[in-house]
Amino acid sequence: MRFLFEQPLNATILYVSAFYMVAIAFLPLGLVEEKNSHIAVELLVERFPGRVQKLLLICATLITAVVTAAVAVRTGQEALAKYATGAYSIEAGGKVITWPTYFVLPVGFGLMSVVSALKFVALATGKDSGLNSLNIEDPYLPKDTPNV
Amino acid sequence: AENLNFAYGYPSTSAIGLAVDDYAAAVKDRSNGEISVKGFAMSLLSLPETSPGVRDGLADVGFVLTPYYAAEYSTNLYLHEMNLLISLAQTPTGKEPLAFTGAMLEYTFNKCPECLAEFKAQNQVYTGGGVTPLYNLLCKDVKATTVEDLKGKRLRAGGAGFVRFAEHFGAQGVRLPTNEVYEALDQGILDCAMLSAPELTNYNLHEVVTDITLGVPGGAFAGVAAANVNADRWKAMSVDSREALLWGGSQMTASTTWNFYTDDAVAIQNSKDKGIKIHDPEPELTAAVQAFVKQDLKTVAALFRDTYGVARAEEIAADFPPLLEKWYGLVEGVDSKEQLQALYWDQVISKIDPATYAQ
Amino acid sequence: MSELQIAGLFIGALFFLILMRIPIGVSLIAVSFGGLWSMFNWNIAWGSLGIVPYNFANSWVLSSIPAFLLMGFICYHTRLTQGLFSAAQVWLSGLPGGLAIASVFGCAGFAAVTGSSVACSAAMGKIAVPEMMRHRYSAELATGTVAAAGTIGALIPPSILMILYGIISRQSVSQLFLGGLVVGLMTLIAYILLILVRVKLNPELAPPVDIKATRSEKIRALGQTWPVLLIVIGVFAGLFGGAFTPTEAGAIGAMLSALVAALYGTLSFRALRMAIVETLTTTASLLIIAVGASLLTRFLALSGIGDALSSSILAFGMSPVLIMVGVVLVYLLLGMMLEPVGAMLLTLPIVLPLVDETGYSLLWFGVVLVKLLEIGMITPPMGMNVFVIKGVVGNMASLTTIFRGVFWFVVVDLLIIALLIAFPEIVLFLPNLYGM
Ligand code: NA
Ligand code: NA
Repeated sequence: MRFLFEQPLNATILYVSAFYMVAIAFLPLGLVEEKNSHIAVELLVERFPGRVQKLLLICATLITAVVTAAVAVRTGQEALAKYATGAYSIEAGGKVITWPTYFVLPVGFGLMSVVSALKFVALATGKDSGLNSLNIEDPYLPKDTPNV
Repeated sequence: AENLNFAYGYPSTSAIGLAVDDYAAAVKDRSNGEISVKGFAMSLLSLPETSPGVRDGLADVGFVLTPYYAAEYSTNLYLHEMNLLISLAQTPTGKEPLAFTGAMLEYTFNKCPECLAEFKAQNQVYTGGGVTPLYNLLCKDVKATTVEDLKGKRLRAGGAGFVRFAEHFGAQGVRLPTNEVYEALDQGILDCAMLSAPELTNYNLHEVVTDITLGVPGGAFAGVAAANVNADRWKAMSVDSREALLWGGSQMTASTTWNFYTDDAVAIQNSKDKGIKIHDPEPELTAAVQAFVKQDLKTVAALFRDTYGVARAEEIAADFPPLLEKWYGLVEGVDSKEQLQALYWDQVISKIDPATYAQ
Repeated sequence: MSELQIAGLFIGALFFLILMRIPIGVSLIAVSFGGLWSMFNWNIAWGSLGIVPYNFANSWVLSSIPAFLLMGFICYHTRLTQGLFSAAQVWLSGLPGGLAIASVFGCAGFAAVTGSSVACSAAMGKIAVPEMMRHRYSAELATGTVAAAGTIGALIPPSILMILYGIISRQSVSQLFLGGLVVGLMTLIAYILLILVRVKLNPELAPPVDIKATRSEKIRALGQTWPVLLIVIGVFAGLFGGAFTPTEAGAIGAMLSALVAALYGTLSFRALRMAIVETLTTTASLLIIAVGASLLTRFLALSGIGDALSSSILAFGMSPVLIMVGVVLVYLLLGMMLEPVGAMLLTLPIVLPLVDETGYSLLWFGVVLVKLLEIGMITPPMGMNVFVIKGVVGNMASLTTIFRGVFWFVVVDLLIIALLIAFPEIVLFLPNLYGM
């Protein structure tokens, strides 16, 4: 990278870790939940009868909503504290404000919580959640079932 | 009986890990076996997590590095920035870090209510500090002993001050985490790393380093609160227990600093044995470094006053050098860890009243 | 209840939640929180939620993972990899499971560029698995091969785990790298033999590709591989020429892939958008698990599991080999639940002195340890490499399928571990030859 820019990239590490990595780790959580792409083990549940499966799914969605809401609240408190102290990092040019990066967590976990709460309501009442999964069709794969 | 968990983000065999062992023994002894301390090396809290971790009680005691939280610890951090003064010592003896530790300890406890308030705001009680050995240039296939040598070189810089140093000498300051220095030197991404000699062993850098220039850029790392105690835990303790922790604080401070000091000598000797070339800087480079330091101390004072909100920056800059001079004298006769601990205890920490401190 | 019993109870709860199809990351966070709360108090549990997630993600080294994911997704969506696999198909058509073998080689190639096995599986997962599935390989073989072969990423240098081990145990990193190179290549050969044998015994796993190619067709097929070769050579040249570090290699690889795709004429806005969206969702779905695992490590550290570990290792007996068997079993067990860095930080302060006493060298142990931790990356229920493959293949295969697919690779890994314990010279001869 230095060859490309030939400039001292003093705050590169800060920008990559505190801004880019924190954002990419947490902001898409809601989108992942919406696409049902969170990683879970189906091994046991897929053998249960349909009604039991549905009941378990409702429980799982509720637990997800509650746990992520708790993390959102706690990281939100932390972010407000960082905002109050005006958290920054000392870099060669002076200071780089870092408190906004802390707000990524309550936003990311909060979105995940909201999406799973909507899913829970939809599942429990049998109504459409209104969530339109952002399903991107993959043109490159054969449509026929794979050789499982 | 009390059980305290001590979290530190270094390996258990490092200078700091061994110091925590000393701390545990000292506290147990002083409290007549009432307080047991259990060390957690890296597993409980990482370095940046230690300050908030002690605040929230995940650990009862922690080895806190203030530079991770510049906004929260700006005054403490400013004291650390005074470390450049070490490079101006008239007759360097190698014991400058021991003296700097004492001066910083005394200033923090007695003359810096803002510093203690900063710890209080993070729900912590300061009981000791610690300082690393001098920074050197650890180079691969590069001999850097003159001002001319430094021009255009790529130097690993741990903090903003080092970037200013590099730029002042026409070099390029590259911010890299210490654990990437090995490969960066090996691959020629860096010419030199500005690090203290024990890192040669800690990070196996002696495998790639070929040349070392001693005492350039100079200065040391002093942004250390070596044994911060969770304030809730502290307030719930008996006066005797608090006294034992203050005693432990003097031990932790002395052990950390002494272990680094002796590691430094060992690391440099090992490097010689391994055939690494050890250079002293040419007098013109030493003079240029000192000129930079004088100028940079002014830059730092202005930065901390105007940008980082340390109102007393100039006052501290005036108060600190005489205190450091006093400590240069105090550490002159010190030849062991025990003497160093006794010195820090007698001169500073014994005068703290455990009944009223940090209430 | 003792702290250790509480820990046991909550580990049981963790297995239960995961088996009830609660997302793994959510299960880990919930169990660690509950465990800290019941073992200590609300403040500590509540505090941990505020501290760990931010500081875990705030990492420079971690940034190579989304970068390698992006590189894999770009290569896949712009069809850069088709040529490579057509060539592999033509050249390896006589070989049972030729594409799976080509994937193992591909993983070994990426291993030399990246320091972590997650990054390695991420880069190869999207490139190789869909190609194998298109050729009607069994989903188990296709996914299992890449998940397992990804582990070579941390054995062949550079390796983040070995650097970390070197720092903690004060062993020479370059000697660890040399030992790791041997074990990495051993693993590579063993995996290829395994694929050959399994496909020979059960040709259904990988239907033979029936192509009679002439010599000139074979050569033409080689010409089709230029896009991927260009990317790999570019990354290698930069890495070894000193232009960037392994952490930066992923970002360079992603940029280079986009550039090559533009040259190749397949870079569309749509392809780029899909690659970016998939990189975002895959990264987040992996990191929430890693954050949860990191929280669990704190809970286990505070529960005093360390002392329990050393007594259970010693329970196997006092002879060096028996102690090593104990160490292996403990790491296999830990590997089921923890990610490697957490497992290493949690156990090394206890295990290193034990190993030192057995007379086995700490250099040798570092290499064996990394191999053991990498086995943990593919064993259920917490197998990060398997999760990565799941993340990149989406609905093409279930987690269960992938875990089934890695089974025989784990068996082979255990054989390798047994060999390393029986003949430590396998690890040590190269470092000894080179060093000292
Ligand atoms: Na590697
Ligand atoms: Na596992």
